[in-house]
Amino acid sequence: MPIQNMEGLKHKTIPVIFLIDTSGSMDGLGITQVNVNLKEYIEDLKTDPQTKEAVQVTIVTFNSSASIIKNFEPIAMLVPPVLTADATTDLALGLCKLMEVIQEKSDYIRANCKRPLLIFMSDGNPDPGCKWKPELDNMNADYIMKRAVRVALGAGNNINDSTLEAFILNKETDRAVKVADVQDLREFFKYLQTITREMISNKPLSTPLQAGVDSVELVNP
Amino acid sequence: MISCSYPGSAHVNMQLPNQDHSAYQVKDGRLFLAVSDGLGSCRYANIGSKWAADQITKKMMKHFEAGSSSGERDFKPVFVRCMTEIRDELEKAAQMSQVEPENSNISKKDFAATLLFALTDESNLFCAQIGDGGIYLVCESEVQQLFEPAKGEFSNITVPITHDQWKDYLSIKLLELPEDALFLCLMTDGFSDYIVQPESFFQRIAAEIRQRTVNEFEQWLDDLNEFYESKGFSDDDKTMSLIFFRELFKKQVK
Repeated sequence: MPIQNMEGLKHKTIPVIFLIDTSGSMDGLGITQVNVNLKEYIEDLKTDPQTKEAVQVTIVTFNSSASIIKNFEPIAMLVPPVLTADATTDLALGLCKLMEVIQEKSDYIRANCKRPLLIFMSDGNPDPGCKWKPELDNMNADYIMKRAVRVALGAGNNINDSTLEAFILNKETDRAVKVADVQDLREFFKYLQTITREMISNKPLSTPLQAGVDSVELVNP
Repeated sequence: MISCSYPGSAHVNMQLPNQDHSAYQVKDGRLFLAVSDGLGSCRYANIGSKWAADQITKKMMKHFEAGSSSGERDFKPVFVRCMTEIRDELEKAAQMSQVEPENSNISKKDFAATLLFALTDESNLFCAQIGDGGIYLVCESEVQQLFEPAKGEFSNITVPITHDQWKDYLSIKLLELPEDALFLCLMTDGFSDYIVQPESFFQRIAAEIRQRTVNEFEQWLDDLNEFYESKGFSDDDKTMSLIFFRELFKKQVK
């Protein structure tokens, strides 16, 4: 006789964690593009029966301070945020805030989630003197974040490749990518849609080229 | 001991073989058991997983048979040495295959697989994990999750035995078997990755065992595989191997 129910099992979700630079340089078209495309990304996944129950979204923004905009919210109920941009680029604060969320949710993530997808987005280098590398090391040493799939995006030419590459821990899965212009963010979010779906269905992750988004370039492929 | 393995529907649909394998050896009151899961995206993962499971049980048995060990404390270095030999053998297999032009780009990584290993003499238990999958010790009073199933559901993320840093991801446990130990369960991630409450899950398994004969329980495991598939938990290959420390099954009526 077929088994009707089984105790102790649960479908696991993918935590999608955005760490977004909302410094002054993103003001104007940059932050508008982020808002528009983030909304499309959320709406696309929340209306797809295969993904609407499978994703939880966290959004941490940083400029001269850091904020938790969304905290492990199921995508099915997520209202897309409207982000604003201002001030400087204190990446250390952003990383620190992100780890606050992860540590607070650590037991929950281990019990209920698959590996997270971390998306870092910025259009410029961290403030001079900002001690972001120790914070990045701290994140890289964390049990959960060590296992996260990472995508680090640089928009425009004002961010060094080395800043993006610093996010890469597992060369087989993590990607440092660039778009030439903030207007290409649409393509980047298309790429995110593809790999989010691949993570949900346990498939190997595509490169931007394999996902058919040729304006998103790999840094040092 | 019982071991059941099921090809996942995803592999069946793609006409791929079951890439999970299990193997065991018994010698001088010791049981050596291994369960291995070939990584889906690697060309010869099914060969790698079979080789890993077969060889680690044989090599570990040989070591203890030879009596060269000063005791169970040697377990980790011995295990690491055996795994190093297996990795070297896979490397050689890849090199030999390269002789054929169509195989010129084969590497050790094409044989990528995870590994779960257990050795018990009924008093002590030694377990190892490389990659993912879970090992659970089920006792009358509690369920011990010996290794957290690393969430390596993506074939290109899991750290397999062929990974250069495999030793960094090797987990080892040595413990005395509790008096109320019922059974040990080794599972590939197709089964283990969705267990969020091991206590409830294994209480149910123990209850099902107690009301069934061995054959009936094996059929129930078939149903459990079907449950995972039909309820959308996993379409991956699934393997469960159980070592029993007590007589739990209903007696077969002749």
